[in-house]
Amino acid sequence: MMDRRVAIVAYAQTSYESKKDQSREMMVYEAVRDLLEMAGISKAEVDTVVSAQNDYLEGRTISNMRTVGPLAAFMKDETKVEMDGAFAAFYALARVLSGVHDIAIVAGESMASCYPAYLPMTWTLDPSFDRPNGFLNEVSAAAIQAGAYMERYGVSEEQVAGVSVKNLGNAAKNPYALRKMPDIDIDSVMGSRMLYSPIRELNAYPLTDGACALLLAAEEKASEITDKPVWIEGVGNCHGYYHLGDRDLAGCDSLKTAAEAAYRMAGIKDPVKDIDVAEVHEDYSHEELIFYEALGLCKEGEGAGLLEEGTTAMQGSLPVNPSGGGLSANPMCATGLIRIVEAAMQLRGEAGEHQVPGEPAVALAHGQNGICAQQNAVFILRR
Amino acid sequence: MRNVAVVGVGMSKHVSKRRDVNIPELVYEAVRPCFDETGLSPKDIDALVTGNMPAFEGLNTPELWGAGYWGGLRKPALRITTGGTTGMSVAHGAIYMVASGLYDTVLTLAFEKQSDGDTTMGLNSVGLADFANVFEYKGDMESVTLSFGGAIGLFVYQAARYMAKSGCTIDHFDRAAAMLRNNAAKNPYAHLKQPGSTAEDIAATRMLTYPLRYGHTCPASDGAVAMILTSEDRAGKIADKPAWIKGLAACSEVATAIGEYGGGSINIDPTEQRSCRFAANKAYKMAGIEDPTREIDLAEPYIPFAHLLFIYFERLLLCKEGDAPRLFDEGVMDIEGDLPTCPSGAVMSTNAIGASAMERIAECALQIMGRAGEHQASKEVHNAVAHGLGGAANFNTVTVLGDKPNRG
Amino acid sequence: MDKKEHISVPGQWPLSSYTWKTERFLDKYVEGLKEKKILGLKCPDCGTVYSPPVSICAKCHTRMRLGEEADWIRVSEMGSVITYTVIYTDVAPGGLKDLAPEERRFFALIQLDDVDTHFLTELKEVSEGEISVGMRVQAVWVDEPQGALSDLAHFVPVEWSI
Repeated sequence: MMDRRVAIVAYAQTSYESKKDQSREMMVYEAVRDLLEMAGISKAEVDTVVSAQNDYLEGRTISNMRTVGPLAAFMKDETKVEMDGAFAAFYALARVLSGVHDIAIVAGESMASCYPAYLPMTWTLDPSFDRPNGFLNEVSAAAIQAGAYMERYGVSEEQVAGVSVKNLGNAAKNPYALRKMPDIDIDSVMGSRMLYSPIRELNAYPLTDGACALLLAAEEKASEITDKPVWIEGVGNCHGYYHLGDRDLAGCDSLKTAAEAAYRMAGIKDPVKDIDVAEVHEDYSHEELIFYEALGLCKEGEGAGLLEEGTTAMQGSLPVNPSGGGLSANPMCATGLIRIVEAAMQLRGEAGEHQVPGEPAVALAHGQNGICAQQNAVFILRR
Repeated sequence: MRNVAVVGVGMSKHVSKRRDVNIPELVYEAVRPCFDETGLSPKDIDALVTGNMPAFEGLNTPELWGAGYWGGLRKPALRITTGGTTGMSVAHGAIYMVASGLYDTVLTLAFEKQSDGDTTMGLNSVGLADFANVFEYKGDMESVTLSFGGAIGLFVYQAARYMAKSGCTIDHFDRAAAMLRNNAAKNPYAHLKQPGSTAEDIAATRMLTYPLRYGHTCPASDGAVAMILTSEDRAGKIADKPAWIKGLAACSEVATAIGEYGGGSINIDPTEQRSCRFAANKAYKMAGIEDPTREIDLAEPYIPFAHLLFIYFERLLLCKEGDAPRLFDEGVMDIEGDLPTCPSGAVMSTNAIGASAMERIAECALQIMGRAGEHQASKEVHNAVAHGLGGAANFNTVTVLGDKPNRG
Repeated sequence: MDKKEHISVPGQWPLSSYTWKTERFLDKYVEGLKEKKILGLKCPDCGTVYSPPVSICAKCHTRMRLGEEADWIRVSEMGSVITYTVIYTDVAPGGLKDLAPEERRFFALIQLDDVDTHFLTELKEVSEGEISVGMRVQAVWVDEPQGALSDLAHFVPVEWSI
């Protein structure tokens, strides 16, 4: 258990676009400026800044060298996690829990319009075997997982498409989302361009430019900044197997482990009952079904059933991805952080048109890193 | 902050080319000794924190592939990368993992396999975006390229100014380099060992960019370092003499010499290094050290080029400004001296970039544990300071270690 | 185990497949260069003067106002050498090449009077004996400026005349 309570006290998102007409530095600057404005604090009150950015997305080495100014990190204890933003939040949490820092800015960003699509993930592959073989990239790997899952449990492409329909429909009410499709239906998904079977364009995330930021504060400071702190009650982080062949691709063991750690810490006994809303980081629609099972929201193989029952819809008992999730916008390195922000917004009742009803009190947020969610971070938040 | 101790240290040998191992195998050579000497195994590890500087290997987030080789499978893990300071940023990440109370025993490692890539290109890729903008606005690219400091890079700009401020000469740099080469010769993990190296030997090497000679520069190494950190209640059970983390801080200012995309830089005097003083002050304060000039027994600043030895000795508040050359002349920084500095031979002798800043902590830990062998300082080491430097002389990290944990 | 054979697999990180976007903060600066004027941009919050300009003031986390005439000021063409180096060895494909004494190039970080930043530029008409930290220098223009960064060709030691 944690000695110190830490809360999310402010947040900011930029709009997510396929091609922003501004520099990365300005994009990040705007997110952090909005964050400090929402918090009502000056940058002098910030103790530490943890950013999530990746040299291979930026095309520059030491990518955080140029974000010192924009992140309000000038003369601060600033560091960089080269992973999805949820992991930056995880590290920032540890910094505040240690007692050395009280207030932390966490920010994540990337611009897909600036890097060669999908290649940065290919460059994570083992260069001595996987890369020269040329079979794998992040989409083909996802397709292999989709196939493994669908075959194991007899899930159809139409059932998987149901995730896209839910999420992209939800995104229509999210002012930040890149891909909003209010009239989307199964046919639209099934009619979209095939990438690697069975993954079609609308089963996959859109290439996105965007940034997201949040502010963590230790208990004593949290109440000075906001009267609606969102407490981090539990976290889990798990680094899974690298080789696809070493994993049971029909599931996500690494997420299961991360979730169990977060649940234990937060005292979550029955996730479907105890959690009111969830934001999961799905890059591909089949992933969300796998994630339902790994998170213990349903039994293995029954993810499609959970979706079809309507449990995870906006009006359901455990809405998942009211924001639209990764399918609506996926600025790599920011996406998991956005899930945390969206979950916090739900608990604070600030999600506007995509607010889930019923005044949710407990939220789950999730971020993934690596190919086919090799690594996973899970947060349990409570208002 | 919950007390954190270093209980295990492992390093691979550092050489210019390891073509017989891949990255995970190279790093394993540093990880294995950590497990062996502590008697721990991967199941005792609660989390893994890693990092390197990925420009040199053409491999994005290598720990995705490598963690299974290192005992990190199925554990909570973090990847931290901050350029030259990476190794220490990674160590700080591991320290915070334990200090947070979330985890008790953490394996941390940092590495670089420079021979996998092109070191020059890797270093240049720091500024490509800026370079591209200067090209866009039709700068004179030939002179712009040369202006980056030739074979040395931007750190050369700290040299002439420091000489003017302190009155030291190139001869000081020659003698500093000779000292470091001799120290490295006593360090089994070091890359460039030149026992018996003299200032004259260094002075005979070619001048690259004034005032720095070839003999003042660091190699490009393949190598790795690993440490096991743990909480106070476990430390004594694992190591006879743990090295305690007493203070840590980092501070970032803006890059010197080149502002973003070709703009001007407010980091006007590249020798001032406010961020280093700032971080040092914070770390000493955490460690309860009021007078570092007296209370620090040993220092491992991040010295890839000889002139930096003097600059950072001062910026780590180990003496008054301008005094470092005189103290060097008096033998204070020798292995047998009152404040041995870089007994390891420094980054100038061993530079696997991602690993280098963590190796500063590892070396201090070894000294405190009394395990530095031939390059063990003559005096007893109670408190030591380790330093990391990076970016365009705008990132500074400081860690203070001691033979006793903080109390109260 | 002695490994006599190993496998090398070639690869690349193709940096040319990236693009980087910037704000157009140098537009006005190079327009000034075309008229043989050096411009600085002042932070609307803390007053720090940047030359060449930047888009964000790191000190106070403020966006610079590129379109605000009043924030652009003409700055002095004279300044001081903060620090310098002399290139003795050129990095060329195939290794290092020593430069003959007359081929050596001088580069410096210069702070112009009225400006709160330094920038990197070449010094000419100076020798190793003369160059020093704190030396006063002045700008030299190309004969026919084009509205390019290269219009501001280099700096030379200031000629004092009484």
